[in-house]
Amino acid sequence: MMQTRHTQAFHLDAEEALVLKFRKHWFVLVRDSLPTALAAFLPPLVFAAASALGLAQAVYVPASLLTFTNLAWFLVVWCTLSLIWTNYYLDLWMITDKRVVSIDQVGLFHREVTTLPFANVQDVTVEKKGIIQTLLNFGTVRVQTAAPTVKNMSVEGIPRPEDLRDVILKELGEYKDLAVANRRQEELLHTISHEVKGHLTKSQAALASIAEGDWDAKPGSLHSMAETALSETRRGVSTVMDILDSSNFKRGTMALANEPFDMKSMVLDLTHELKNTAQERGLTLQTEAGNGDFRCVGDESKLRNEVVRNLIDNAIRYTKQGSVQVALSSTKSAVRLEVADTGVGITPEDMRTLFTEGGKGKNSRDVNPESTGYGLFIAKQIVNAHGGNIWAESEGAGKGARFFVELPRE
Amino acid sequence: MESGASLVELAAWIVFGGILLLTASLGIVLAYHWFRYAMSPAATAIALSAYVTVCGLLCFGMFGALLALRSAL
Repeated sequence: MMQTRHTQAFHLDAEEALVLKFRKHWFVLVRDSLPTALAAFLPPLVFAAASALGLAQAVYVPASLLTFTNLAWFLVVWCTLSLIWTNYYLDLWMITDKRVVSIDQVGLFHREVTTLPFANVQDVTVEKKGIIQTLLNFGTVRVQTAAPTVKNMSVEGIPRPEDLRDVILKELGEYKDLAVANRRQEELLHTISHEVKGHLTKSQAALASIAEGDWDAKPGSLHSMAETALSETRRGVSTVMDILDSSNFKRGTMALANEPFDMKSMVLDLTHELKNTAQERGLTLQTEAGNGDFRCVGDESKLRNEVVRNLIDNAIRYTKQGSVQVALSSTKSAVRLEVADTGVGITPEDMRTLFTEGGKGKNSRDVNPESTGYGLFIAKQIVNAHGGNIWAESEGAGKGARFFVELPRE
Repeated sequence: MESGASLVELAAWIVFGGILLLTASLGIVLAYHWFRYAMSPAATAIALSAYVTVCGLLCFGMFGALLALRSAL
């Protein structure tokens, strides 16, 4: 949550709302442009002065040359004014519900985007210097940071600076309240999930015992009911486990093993296990694993069940016809898994929320209504915790998707 | 006198060429910034029209002045 600087175009996060956007006061543009604009009159003034002093009569200068010189000068002035206006217009300040953003266009080729999250903001002060700033109601706004290592943010020429300060302080207050509320909610969710998981696991065991015939002979309808209840309870346990895992990652309490394992044997084992599921749906599941070193270090169980199984299972679920291809390759420093399908694909809008908590795609609601939306979020957390990367590519709806996982080698 | 006049004319044409090049290059760079970073498409369109119109008029005027200069010298 540090102050960040980069030079790319600025984009809001998926769940970020823009509160206020503004640029500097018009007086700043006038002040910066005035010397250049006045310089436009320099050549006519020089020629007029030369005429007045009688110098023009000494040297013959055709009127067309004077016109040409004046127009050339006007063009240079116009280009400079365009540049000044561009710098003014592209300089922006934005207040979102999460941070303060300053976009600074420096000259032609340098554009700096500075963001300061509210978590780092301590105070906002306003300074107005001189009679012009007071009369026209603009001044300098300084956002002071809480951490000594993070620089303060300061921008001059801000119109109605007091209003801006009030907006930042209001958002800051709401952000802090929200952060506390979120933390409490997270703790509550964790406690409830934990309790529910306990009850559901007991019910699951009892229902499994009935469905699997550990008790006396029972009517067919009761057996069928027990199996349905068991299936629903298993789904409930799975959902609660997803929520608990997600909560543990956010609280930083997820424990991961750190042991060497062979990614190739894990992937081959899983694809063998899921081959029947794919065949039942009329799909072909192809696996391709080259030669090489596929040894990694980490939590094999979590990677197997929450990442690799999840990706292959998703590919099967979201593909109505065609094939699912799993490819494993190894480079000098990493092992890469690719799961490609010919399924429903991912739209650019869904792509933005694909790996977020509860992020369900538009197509996924039709194809897989039972999706909790936690699977890919958890997969991303696990892969990232192993120092790896997970990402997806798709050309759009109906054009299939490819998911990649890259893990560092042992 | 004759060679001095043609030298002035040549210098004027070189200045004209240089200014055309500067205007076009700056226009491309500015337009790139407007299209990529400006949040309002209307502002981009207005800025581009104003830039092209004013530059066009001034360049046209300069070209006219150069033709007049040729006949004056």
